[in-house]
Formats: sequence, structure tokens, C-alpha cells
Amino acid sequence: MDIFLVVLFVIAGIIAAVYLLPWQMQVVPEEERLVVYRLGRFNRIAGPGLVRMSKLETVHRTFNAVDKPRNIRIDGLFMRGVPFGYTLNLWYRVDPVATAGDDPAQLTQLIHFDDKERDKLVGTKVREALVASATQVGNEYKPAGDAYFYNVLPIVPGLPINDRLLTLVREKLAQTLPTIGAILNQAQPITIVGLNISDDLIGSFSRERITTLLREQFPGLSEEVTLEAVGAIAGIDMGRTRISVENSGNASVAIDEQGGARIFMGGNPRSTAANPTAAQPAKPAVAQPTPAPVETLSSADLGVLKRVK
Amino acid sequence: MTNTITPRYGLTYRQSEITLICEAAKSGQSLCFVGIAGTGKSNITNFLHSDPYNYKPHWLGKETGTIHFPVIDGNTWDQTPEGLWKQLLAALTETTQHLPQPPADAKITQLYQDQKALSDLKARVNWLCQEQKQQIMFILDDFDRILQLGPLPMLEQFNALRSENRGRLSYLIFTKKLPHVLGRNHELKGNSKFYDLFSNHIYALGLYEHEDARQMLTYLNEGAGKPLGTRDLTIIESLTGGHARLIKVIFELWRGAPPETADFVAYFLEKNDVRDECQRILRGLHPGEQEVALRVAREEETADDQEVIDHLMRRGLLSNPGKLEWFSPVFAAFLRSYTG
Repeated sequence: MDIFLVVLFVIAGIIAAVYLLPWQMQVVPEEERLVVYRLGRFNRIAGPGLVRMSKLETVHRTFNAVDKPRNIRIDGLFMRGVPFGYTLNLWYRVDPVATAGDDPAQLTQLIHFDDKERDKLVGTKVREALVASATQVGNEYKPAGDAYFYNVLPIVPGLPINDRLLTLVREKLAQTLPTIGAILNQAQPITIVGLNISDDLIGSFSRERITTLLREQFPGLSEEVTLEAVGAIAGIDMGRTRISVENSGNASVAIDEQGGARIFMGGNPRSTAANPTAAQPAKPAVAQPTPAPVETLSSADLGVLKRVK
Repeated sequence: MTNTITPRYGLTYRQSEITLICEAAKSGQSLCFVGIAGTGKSNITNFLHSDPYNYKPHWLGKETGTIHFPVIDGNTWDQTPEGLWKQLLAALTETTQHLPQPPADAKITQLYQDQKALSDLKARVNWLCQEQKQQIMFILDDFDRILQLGPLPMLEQFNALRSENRGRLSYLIFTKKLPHVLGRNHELKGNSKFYDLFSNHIYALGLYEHEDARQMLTYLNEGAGKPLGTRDLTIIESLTGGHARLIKVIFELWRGAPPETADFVAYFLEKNDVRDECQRILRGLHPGEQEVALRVAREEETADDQEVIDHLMRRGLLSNPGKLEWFSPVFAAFLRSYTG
């Protein structure tokens, strides 16, 4: 009987401790962080793992802190008179604590954004970096001739002048992303996974003519890179088709100026680790037409038009 | 062309629209009209630009000689910024050739052709507005493709031009579709100060009222030697519902071969010219508008279509909310028979 009472008291004590003691426990997953407020004011970032909070504290929001790649589409860019857009793939993580450093006021500013708002801010910073870098590269670039097409070349992925553009973008983002609580992963490259050029701009150039102009402008380029650039301009999927040649290891395929397949043994001389699409199943190297934007009319759209009184 | 007694359009032609445009031109306010294909905006541009019947003093008063309306046609744009600036400059030069010319500026040499063209345009606009105290309203006709293709920085130059000549420079834009939907690729709404200039002044350019439609028919009839009687003209007016190009098409067909049947709708619907024009009207609508229009014609509209129906009524295509009626029975029949 005594033992029974002791056990009963212990259980009651545990229950009382859980309800009466002034703290609560929460398990925070590895990829999340908690923004903890105490009595209505920001107190700290907590997590991951077991987080102990007093009853006076609340979780105001959570944010995702994983270092991962994201695709960001930026349109409405302009370089040397050529309109274009990019979809960039870049790695970054959200870490307001690291970016704020010893400045608690700065940290308080940075925790106000939720994931969606921060993604938008990152998009803004990427746009700013692209616009500034495109201007700089546009001014530095010396076209080999007067043909309008030479002005298109700096925006083509794979060409040295375009690598310069991405280097400048990386440098700028390394400086500007921390101002919004994000940190660029500089161990991962910034990759162009989508290039948007108006069909009208390219339509008059045959693939052969594009290839000829590229070779004139960049005589030192490897054949593979040249054809990859031609493919990018012509709208072919940026991913590279990989085939397995029996007893000979891997090879890669690009579409040549006549539209036929060229096989390069030994893989891509450019690091495929830099191309996130290489991790995906191989896609056929078929030119994908740019899908026309779907034109839907919302209530807001329909409300724009007024009647003349 | 035979010299007609009846002018192509009267003094009160599109009275509401002309009033709006002239008030805007006087105050330097930009505006946009969205009108279906063939709705007769060429008369508006003709009146503003050339004023063959000398109506402008009625609308502009003592400012008639100091407000100019150069016109550019978006259909002839060569898809380059340089081409656009040259079009604007050529139109402006032609419209203001009677005024003193600006002195040449030898201090600045532009290296790129598009920058030179823009610089020349700016110089002329600034000279006219700031030195000569003139007012300019550029008429940007059929501007759909330019808004769609951009690029945005090119379009923003319109705002830059206007900012330097506030109150004296404005734009009258004509499109077939909603401008912000056309410019969705570069997020015209929200991103463009040029769009902000007229975003609160986007109007539907409706079809002709009875007076204007009858004036047009009378003008056409007189020009052809009055082959048609009053009854015929009345029937054509009711068949076409005030759509200017349909009026012209059906008038010409009737004049060439008067219908021998009383089923005028079926008779004219069989004619290729009429079907082509109806097709143009339909294809000029947004896809969402087209879908609802076809459902309405087949009496298959749903409750979800009401917003678009209201919108089509604002555009003048539909009337009578109780039992929806199309502006033209010929167009209604075309929609019912349309298979895509």
C-alpha cells in the first residue's frame, strides 16, 4: 500500500510539474528555426533540437534554414539593346543570426520576414545584381562586328563573357543577400537554367549562321561549348543528354549546326557538378518551343476598363 | 472619290470620346482606349491629326493651333527601339513642320543609333514644349505589339520624355486588348511608370451610336452615287450594330449584289468578307473573352461568366442584361456557327 501511494505521488508530481512549472518544450526539426517572442517582443532565434521556452514566450513564426538550391526567374532585363530574361539557380540559406552578427537591432529587423517575403526580397536582390552586372558587362564587351546578333552573345550561357556576368552577379549577391538575412553558398555555382529571348530576335538567324558568328567572336571555344551555346540560343533544353556507350564509359551529346547529334566522349569538360540538371534523369535534346504565356483575365484585370460617360 | 455633301463624320462624331481626349490633351493627361478590331478609330486619329473638316476649334478653342497630334502606327514598327524613336520623330516633324525648327546641337555625338534616334526625338519634343510652348499628344495607334514585346526600358522612355515636359506632353494609346495584360511578360502593371501615366484612364472604345453609323452610311452611299435607299441603309445599320468595318463590308456587298432574300443575316453570313471580319473581331479579343462570347452566343453561359459578360457589355459588344443581345445579329450568328 505504501509503495502504491509513493508511485501515485510520483505520478501526480510529474503531472503537476508538466502543468505548473513555468516552461514548455518543443522539438524543432533540423531545417527549421523558431522566432521566439517574450511578452510581445522578439527574444531569440531557437532550434534545431529540443527547445525550452517559458510560459511567457510564444513562437511568433518559423522559417526554413536549409542551404538549398532555388530557381529564380528574372525577366525584363536589358543588355546592349537586347531584351532577355534568365532563370537562375543559386544556393543560399536563411540565417539572420549569422548575418546580423553582434547587432541585436539588425537581428530584430531581419526576423520580420516570413519565407515567402524573404524569397521575394531575394528575387529583388538578384534582379539588382543582374541589372548592375549586365550594365557593366555590356560596357566592357567589344563586339566583333556590327551585326545585331553580336549584341546577343553576352547573354548566352557558356560563353566567356557570360561567365564574367555570372561572376559579377555572384560578387554582388555575396554582399547584398546578408542585408536581408540570407547567405549565398559560394561553394555552389550560380547557373543559368533558363534563357528567355524573344523568338523574333533569333528567328531570322539560322543555326549555321549563329554557329559561324560564335566561332568568329570566340575562336578559342571548344566545339562542345560552341554547340551548347547554339542550343541555348535556339531554345534547346539546357540540360545535356547523357548516353552510356557500351564498354567505353559515358559520353555527352549536343545538337550541331545542322540539327544532328554530336557525341563527345569522356563527358562534359565543364563540371557537370555545376549543372544541377545533371542530377536529374537524362532528357532528350529536343528543341522545346517556349510555351506561350497563358492569358487569363482576373477580376482585377476586368475591372480596369471604364466606360466613357 | 466622288465629292460628297455629307462629311465622313459629323461635328458631334464620337462626342464623348473626343471630349475626353481634348480635355486630356489640354491638361497633359495620357489615356488609353481599348477597342475591338474595326471599330472606326481611324476617324478619330484622322480628326485629331488632320482635321479635314475643321472641327477642332469647336473642341479645343483658342488652343487649337498649339496642341498637336502626331500619329504612329504600331503595325509598322520594326521591333527595335531605334525604329520606334524614328517613327515618333518622323510623325512629330511632319505634324509640326510649320513651326520653327530647333537648332542643331553639335556638342553631343551619340555613338549608338538607337541612342541618337532617342536623343533627336527628345531634342525636338523639348524644343517644342519648353521653347515654343506647344502641347503634344502622341497618338500611339495599334500599340498592342509594342506593349507586348517591349522591352520595358524602351517603354519607360515615354515616361522620361513626359517627365521633362509635364503638362505639355501626353499620349493617346489605342489597343485591342487590355494594355497591362499585353505587357504581362514584363509586369507592366506595377513596374512601369509609363503605364502609370494612363492606368486610371483606360476606356472602352465602343461602337458607333446611331447618328455616327447613319452618317457613315450616308457618306458611303453618296460616294457611290446613292445606289441604296433609306430602307436598305436602315437594315444595314441594324445588321452591323454600329461596327464601322462591318458597315463598310456589308454596304459594299449590298451595293454589288442586293440580297434577294429577307433572311439578311443568313445571306451575309455566307459571304467570306463578312466571316473574315467577324473572325477578326473574335480573334482580337482576349482568349478568356472569346470563350465566354462563344458560350453566350450558344446560351451556355454560366454564373462564373458574369464578370466577363459585364466586361463585354462595357466594351459595347453585349447589351440588355436581362436577355443578352449582341451588337450585331450577323456577329451573333457567326459565333453560333463558329467551330474554331
